[in-house]
Amino acid sequence: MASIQGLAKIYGMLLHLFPQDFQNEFKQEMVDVFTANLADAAKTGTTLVVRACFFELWDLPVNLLVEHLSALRKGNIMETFSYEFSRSRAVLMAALGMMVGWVLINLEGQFIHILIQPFPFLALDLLQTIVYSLPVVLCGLMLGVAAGVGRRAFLRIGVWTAAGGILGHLVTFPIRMFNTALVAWAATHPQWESVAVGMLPFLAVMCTYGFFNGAGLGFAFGGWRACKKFALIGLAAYAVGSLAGNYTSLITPRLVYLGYYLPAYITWSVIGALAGGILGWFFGKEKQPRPYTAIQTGNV
Amino acid sequence: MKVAQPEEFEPLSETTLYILVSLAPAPLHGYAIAKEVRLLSEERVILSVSTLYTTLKRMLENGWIERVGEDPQPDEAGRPRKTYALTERGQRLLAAEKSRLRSLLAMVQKRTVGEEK
Repeated sequence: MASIQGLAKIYGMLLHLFPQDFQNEFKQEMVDVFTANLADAAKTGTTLVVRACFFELWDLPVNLLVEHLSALRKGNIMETFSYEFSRSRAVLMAALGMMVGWVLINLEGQFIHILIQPFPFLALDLLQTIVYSLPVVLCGLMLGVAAGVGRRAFLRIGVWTAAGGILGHLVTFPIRMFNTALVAWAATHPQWESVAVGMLPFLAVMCTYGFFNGAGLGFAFGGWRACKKFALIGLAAYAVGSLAGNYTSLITPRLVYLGYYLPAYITWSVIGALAGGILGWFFGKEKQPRPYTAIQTGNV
Repeated sequence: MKVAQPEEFEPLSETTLYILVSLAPAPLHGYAIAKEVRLLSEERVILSVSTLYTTLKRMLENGWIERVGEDPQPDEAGRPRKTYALTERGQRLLAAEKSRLRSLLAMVQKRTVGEEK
């Protein structure tokens, strides 16, 4: 009996992995039913107790996932909140977030080998895929600051922008592979080099990034409806920003800061500023945005 | 707000259907539901506690079942157990599912009548 109580306590601890609302409503009942199940199994034999425990453990991850997704979809984290940015703040914050993100990526480039040494099972590409979502995550968080959202909304922004960033990086993979092959081919065909390593593949990659990063931001800020608008805004911002950054590089001294050329920072800042600017222009209002917590509780 | 009709949820998952059926005669608490489902399915469907409660949660949210107080017989720890019962909507859903399964069976029987002989 003591061992059953011990197992029930461990099960109770595992139930902390469920979303808080679910725990509040069902945790005690679940522990009671689990204890009753084990007591029932113990009447037949210890093997059945062990089997009952493994059965619960086997089923738990899927149900955890289902409940967390359900909480994300309709719970507090997913609640649509205001994206009424203050225009000027949106431009500055998005540009800053994007630029800091790319500085961090660059730093990651220098330290990534130290980072992955303790985790040899983590492929370099996998780590890079995650890290490459940093700029859009930071951009989203800064836009969250600009929109005056509450603490809980930042988690939602972080989750969805990271998802958008990671997805964008994955989708660009075939384009990047194609470009690498093209560059290799161009090395033997110098007359085509300017086209092969030119703007088109670069733009394709950037527009894909922009589309998915924008979609992630949109989902974080306004659900499915905003997702489409933000994806197009992201695409436009990345396309124009990349071109602007590219042409800026022609007139900017190729100074190196933190391992990157100055034009690269300008490119990303312009992209961030454009994204923030367009978002601010369309959705921004020169007024104090409604706080997220007020929308949550309906005190609007 | 648009209220979803029972037909919109068809076909029900096996777990949901068994829980609905187990609650049809009388309200039951969680442990009794799990036992009843096991019995009804002849040990084929064994619900883990987490599956049982995530399904109950979804059914509560959809308004198919409701909590109807506490079982007078407490559990081993002496705590009263919460009982669940079908709502009117749940009963309608069960009836709709029953009719769907009946027509499905009729169709299968009609098409395979020659094979059975």
